[in-house]
Amino acid sequence: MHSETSNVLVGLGIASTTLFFGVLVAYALEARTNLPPTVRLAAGLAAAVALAAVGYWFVLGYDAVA
Amino acid sequence: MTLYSTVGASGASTPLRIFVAYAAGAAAAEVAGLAGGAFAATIGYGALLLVLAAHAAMSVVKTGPLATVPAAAPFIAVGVPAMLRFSTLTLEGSPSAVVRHYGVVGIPAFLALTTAWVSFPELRPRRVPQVDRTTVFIAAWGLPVGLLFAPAFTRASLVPEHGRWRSVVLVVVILVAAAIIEELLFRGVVQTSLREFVGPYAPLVGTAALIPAYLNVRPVGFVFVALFTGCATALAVELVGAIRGVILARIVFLVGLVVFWPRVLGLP
Repeated sequence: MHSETSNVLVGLGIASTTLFFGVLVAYALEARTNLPPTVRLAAGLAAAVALAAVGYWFVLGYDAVA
Repeated sequence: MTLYSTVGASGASTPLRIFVAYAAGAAAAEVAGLAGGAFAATIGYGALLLVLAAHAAMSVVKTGPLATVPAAAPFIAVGVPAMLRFSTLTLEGSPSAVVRHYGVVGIPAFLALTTAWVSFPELRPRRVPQVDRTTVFIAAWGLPVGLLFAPAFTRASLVPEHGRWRSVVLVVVILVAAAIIEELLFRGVVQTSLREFVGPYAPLVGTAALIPAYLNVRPVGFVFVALFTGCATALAVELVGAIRGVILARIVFLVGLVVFWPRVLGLP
């Protein structure tokens, strides 16, 4: 696969999964806190970015471990 | 908030129409994958998740063109299976071993389970106070069912040998990801949310939604294992109304498949 195309795919993957998990966490914050809606979404997205970093570390590190 | 809290505001049929539209999008991504390969399917699922998540984000902050359109229930019922399928498409350049599949899918599945569990109490499986005969009966079925599939696999194809202790860790990863997280997420959260849209067909639709996430797992026979055990456990949860028995059955099934039956039958 062409590297530029691959970069687009990676970008699409990071953007969509981060937004997806950010919204999931925002829903959880809505159930448990009284934070303003924008703050809930921002906190959710921040948590999702952190999780994406851990996830990519796991994926990239698997071959080295195995 | 509750999962279907906006149903009354927009009319009873609106959430169903939204659900059907997103499910059609997921089906279109699979068709694109059949016609144009994994690349096309990845683009399709990525776009679907972006639209679905953006829609849900608008409903969270209550601004934007889709802010008043019900999003939470379709987000769980379609978005969770689509996200797991998307994970396998983007993170796997080639067919993956079973244990790696569970490692890659297990993390997003765990987060989806915990956040949905916290957000929507109505999706949590019913608690049964004590282990009854039905639970034991369902759990025991895991062992003979494992015998049906054991000859189709080698132990190395399921859990690659990396030394005794590392193999034990890998078996535990599969047990936690497949037997606990996957059952709670699909038979608990997703199947319950689907029931609102497809009624008694929720077990079949939920199983069908799960299967695409397995399509690039090797050995190929594991896809059939996932289909068979998925259908059986989904129907058992629907009939019994509790999930503990099928989680135990899945643990017994996997331990039998990986550890017990290969030793008894002398398989490689």
